[in-house]
Amino acid sequence: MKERSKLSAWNLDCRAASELASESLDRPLGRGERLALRLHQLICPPCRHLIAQFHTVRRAVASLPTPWRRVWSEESIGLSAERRDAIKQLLQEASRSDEAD
Amino acid sequence: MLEPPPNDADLGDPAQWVDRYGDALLQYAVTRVGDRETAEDLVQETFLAAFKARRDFDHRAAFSTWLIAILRRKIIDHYRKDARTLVTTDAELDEVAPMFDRTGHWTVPPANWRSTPAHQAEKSEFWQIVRRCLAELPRHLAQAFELRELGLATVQEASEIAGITPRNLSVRLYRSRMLLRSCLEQKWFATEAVSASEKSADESSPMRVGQARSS
Repeated sequence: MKERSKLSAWNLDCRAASELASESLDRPLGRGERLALRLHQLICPPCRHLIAQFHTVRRAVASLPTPWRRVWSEESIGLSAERRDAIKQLLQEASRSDEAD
Repeated sequence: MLEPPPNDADLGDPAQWVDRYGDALLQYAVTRVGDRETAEDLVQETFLAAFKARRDFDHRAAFSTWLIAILRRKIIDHYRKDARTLVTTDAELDEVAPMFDRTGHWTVPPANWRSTPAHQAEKSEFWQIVRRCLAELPRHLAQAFELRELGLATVQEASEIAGITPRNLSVRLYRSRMLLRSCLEQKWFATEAVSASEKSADESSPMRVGQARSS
């Protein structure tokens, strides 16, 4: 990635801006970085779109099904019958050998 | 809240765990590892581990939450093993390079995604496409993205799991996000614009361009 020392609000290109935009999702940006990114966004619609897209993807992924809150009602996924039986079998064996101990 | 001391009877017949929690665990696993067979293996391991550790369950959390915590660790172990098999090419290959010209400007500028998946059916469809796009990414990049964005690990944890420095992880996350957004723009938002204009009279169409703003 780019040398951060060369970073300034006025020479940030789109590539550097996109790198900063990604990093802002993982760590708080420094003051200079934040300012540079904000100024770049003002003059650059594509980078503005990029940042919105990053957030859209993050939001969409965050609303993924967590088990006890079904987002995925369309196609609920279940254990196959064979697997279900296999696991029960294993658990029964485990509990028998447990009792034998 | 006072809870009774844990004992086996409270947790019921382990075989019933499978009926009660199996599908939910599988869903959690499938959305995170992508592959059904692997997900079923992980769920199986989770139940066996839960059985062995059942006396450690202390009732402070719901049993389901406890199972998920075990499954999450299994998934992370899976990623860790996966990471060891990856031949990484961070240094020599810059997947993002073609997206910019020599002056650092976009070759194909990102578009304004006018609508975002809002409804159940759309979300599910969108997720399928995210999955498909992730499958097209180099594995080490998809892995970085999944660890970070699927609520599996913090940045620090994710870099340990992947066996790379946080700085390196940051590079991988950057590349994965850039490739993913580019893929989504082609596969989801491009077809959306077409189908929305084609089917604008069709009210059952799940696409509602302009209805939801992307910011």
